[in-house]
Formats: sequence, structure tokens, C-alpha cells
Amino acid sequence: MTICLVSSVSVAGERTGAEVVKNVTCPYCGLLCDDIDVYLEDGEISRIKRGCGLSNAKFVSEADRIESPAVREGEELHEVSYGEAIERAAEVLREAKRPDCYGWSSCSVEAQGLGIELMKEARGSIGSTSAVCHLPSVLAMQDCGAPKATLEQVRNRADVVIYWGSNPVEAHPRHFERVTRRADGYFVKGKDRYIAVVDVRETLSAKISDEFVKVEPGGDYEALQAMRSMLQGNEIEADEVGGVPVETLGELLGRMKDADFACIFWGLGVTMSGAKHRNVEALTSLAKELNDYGRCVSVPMRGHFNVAGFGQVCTWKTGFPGFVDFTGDEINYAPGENTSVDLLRRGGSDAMLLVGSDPAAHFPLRAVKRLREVPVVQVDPHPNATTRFADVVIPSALVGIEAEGTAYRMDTVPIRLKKVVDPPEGVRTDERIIRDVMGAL
Amino acid sequence: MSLVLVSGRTLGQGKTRDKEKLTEGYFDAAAFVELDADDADDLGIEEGDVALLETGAGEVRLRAKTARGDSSGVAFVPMGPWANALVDDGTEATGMPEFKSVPVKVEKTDGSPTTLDDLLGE
Ligand code: SF4
Repeated sequence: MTICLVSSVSVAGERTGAEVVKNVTCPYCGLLCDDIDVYLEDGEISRIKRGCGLSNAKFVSEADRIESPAVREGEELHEVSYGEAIERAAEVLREAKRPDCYGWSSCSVEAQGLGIELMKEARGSIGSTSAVCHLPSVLAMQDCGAPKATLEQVRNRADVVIYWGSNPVEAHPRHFERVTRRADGYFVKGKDRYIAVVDVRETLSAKISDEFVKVEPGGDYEALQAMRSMLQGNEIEADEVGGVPVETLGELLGRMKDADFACIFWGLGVTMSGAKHRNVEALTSLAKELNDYGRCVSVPMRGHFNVAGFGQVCTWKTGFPGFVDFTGDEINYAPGENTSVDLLRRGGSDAMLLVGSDPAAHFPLRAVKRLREVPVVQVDPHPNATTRFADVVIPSALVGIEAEGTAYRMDTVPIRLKKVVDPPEGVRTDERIIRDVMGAL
Repeated sequence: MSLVLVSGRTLGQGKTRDKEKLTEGYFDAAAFVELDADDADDLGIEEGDVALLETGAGEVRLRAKTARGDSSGVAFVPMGPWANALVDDGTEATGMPEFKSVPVKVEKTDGSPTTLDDLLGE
């Protein structure tokens, strides 16, 4: 860790000594910017340099924290020791016939690996928040692959960039700055890239790009397949496909075909609508087929800072990228069956361990109603909607700020997370908590 | 009027996602519907009015905003508990509920906006 002492001027004008930790990785979104300078005063973060609105909120703003481990008795949560909360969590897992574990996208890969081992012991299932995010991308890439590249390759080479169903200005605010529009590469200057946004609404990202192509909601599959067909030399006998004039699709395809290096970044507009994984298959297939003309790659815009890591770790450990069930003699990989929302819908899980997630806010409300019927153990730094009914609540440290670890960027490049301040007194890391629950089990 | 519900990230929802999940800041950032200006006009809904949104999965009342760009046909609600009250829990064996492209009926209402307590039953 690089810590320098710098002089800064306080609001009152007095010169004060502040520490600065250089090149800290931001543990917020899947872009994992690793150039943040964090300024510390009296052991607390006073400000950051080079962050975006999201990273400022994460590093600097006042946080609601879960102050103590707690166990629910009747309607109320009662503070207990870590030992008691961990014993209770182990009891919930032990008593369940089919416990399910969900979350993990805001944890280090080290903690994720331990979580998978824990659920093997507990004979349950485990998956990450990608179930309500990029799971269709994972399925599509398993089915038909995808031409990939690192973000550095894209920055250095891409002369045409398409953001399809993705709004980086709001979800990955520094993507334009670090990878595309404002990022100069060895071979291409940021301002010289052609950038198009394909989306159902004219987002802020669409407004600052060279072209906005409005597709109708659920129309992505048809539009992408029409482009693939045109690439094969076929004529489309319609004026519009997926709500987009065929002429516009043809022009966009022409730009990609003529590019030296094109990149399609795709987001949740592709994974969450209509044909879901079939949308992604059409998109990555188009990218593959464009390689007959120039170079074309595709990169998913992963959301949470280490959602990609869970897929990596689970693949090393089980051969599958998540959504694995350890209840039988063999590992059962069945997304759509073992995914938490599906399990809740059919009453397939009888306890839930949640690590760094808030399904009460991010699952369909019907699934939340079912979640409330089973015992819930929550490990999280912050209280959220799920805390309102969790039976066991265990506070954890913020990895990347209060604990170190490793995370995988959206292009699956591993990046080290630093510790810059101590966690609140006594608060344990996810790794320690999972190890302790395993011990108690 | 029938539109298509699209839920998604916004900067405001993102800023309050981790640290302020049980605060007014998060509620303000996640509990609204954004409509295309012309669609809002057709519906007789002005910025700040309360709109009733209804899908096969449920209904919520949300404060309305008008979109600055072309958002025709879309009722955008930031990802979170309010949007998810309108999303069915079926995944068609894909694991992924339909968080975008859900047909939604939108109309002006005199009712007050739905609170998190209304949704979570407390
Ligand atoms: S773009 Fe993402 S990783 Fe980069 S500073 Fe912002 S929130 Fe952090």
C-alpha cells in the first residue's frame, strides 16, 4: 500500500497533515477503477480524488451501519455477541433440509470461495446476484461463446463502440472516461471513436453519444437477428424490425463491418427483457460473425464490483459458474431451477443465508413474501429492506475499504482491493464470519 | 393507457443503494415513475402527480416525472422494491424474472404514493 503524507488546507485555512493512499480500487461497480486517491484525516476518509458520484457515496458519505450482531425474538431484533449470532446462523443451516445461499457480489473472491465450501458442508445451494442481472449472459456464453477482450484492448484499439441496452453514465459513470469517449489509446483517440447507444429510452448515455438507436422494449432479439441476416447478404422484407428502421440497422451494421476494431458492450436491457439469454446469444453471435470482416469483441457491463468473481470462483471449485446445488451425491447445476427466485416460488428452500445482498428490494415482491416465510440469516455492512425481517443479522466490514481482497472486473481481469481504514470496532470481515459459521456448523 | 414497464439503474438509486437503504434519500431515488413527455400529456399526468401503475403482478402508486429524452411507450421505474411490486416471480426456467418489458396500465390517481411499509406489510 502506498501512503504519502501531504499537506492540505482545511476549510478554516489552517494547514493540516493528511494521509493519502494512492491507486485504491473502487469497490462499487464492475469497472473497478484502480486509480482512486483516498485522503485520510484522523483515521477517517475525508475525500477521494478521481472518483465518480457512486464512488464518492461509497467512500465518503455517512453510512448507516448494522451496529451489532442481532437475533430476532418475536417482532424485535435483540443485540447479541458475534458468538451467539454465529451459533444461531449455524443452527438455521443445520436445521434446514434445503438451505439456499444468495448474494456475494460485494464480497472478495476469498470470501466467495469459503461461502461455496460452507454450502457444501450445509448441503444446500448457492448463487450470486447475477441471477437478477447477467445470468442470461453466462448461459449464452456457455452455449455459444463470445469474442472477448480486456478493457485495455478496447481502449487502445476500438474505433467503433456500441452500448446495447446499457446506460454507463448512470451505472458505470467512468466508463466513457476510462475506456471509450474520453480515453485515448495507442491506436485510437477517444474523440475519434464512433459511439452508438441502442436502447428503449434516450438515456443520458444516448444523449452524449454519436448516435441513439431506439429499439422497442423486447425488440432486441429481432433487431440483432435481422443484422445477422443482413450480414449474410440477405435482404429484409420489412420497413422496421424490433421497432428500428431496417435502414438504420443496416447503417449500424455497416459501421461495425468497416471498423478495424468494434466492441459491443451489453447491459441489462439485453439480459432482462424478452428473449433474455437468446438476446445475448444473438448479440455475441453477431460479434463473432463480424470477425470475418474486421475485429469485433463483446463485453458484458457487469454491475456489482465482484459479481464476475463469483462466477470465476464457483467455476474453479465446482466446474459451474454458480447456481449449484449440493443436496445430492453429485453437484447439480440448474439455473432456472436452483436460482433463488425459482426456489422460493416453488417452496424449494427452507432457510436462506444472504451475504451482501438485499432481496427484499431486488426480488419480485411475490418472491419476497415467500422469503419472509423461511428463517433468514443476513451478513451485511448496512441495514436494508431485508433487515426488517431477517432472523439473524451479522454486521460485516466493507471489503475494499476496511478489508483487503481480490475482485474480478467486468472483463474478468482480477484486481486487488486495498484496506484503507479500520472497520468499526469489533466488526469482522465476511471471510472471518463465514469461517466462524463453518466452524460452528 | 398501456405502456411497457422498464426498471433499471439511475445515479440517484446507485448513490443511496449501499449506505442509505432505509432513508428518505433512497425512497425518493427509487419511488417514482418517469414517463415520456407526450405520453404523460396524453395521460393528463403532470410532473409531481401520483400515477397508478398496474401489471398482472401487482400495483403501486408513484410520483410521476417526465423524461428529458425520447422515452415513448416506456414507464421507467428505478430498480428497487416499487418496481419489483410490478414484476412477476416466474422466470420461465431461466432464473431471470421479467424486470423489463412488462405491459403496464398507467393512470392518474388521487391516492398517496405507496410506501415501503405498504409493500412490506409493516
Ligand atoms: S465507475 Fe464504478 S468503479 Fe469507477 S469510480 Fe465509479 S463506481 Fe467506482
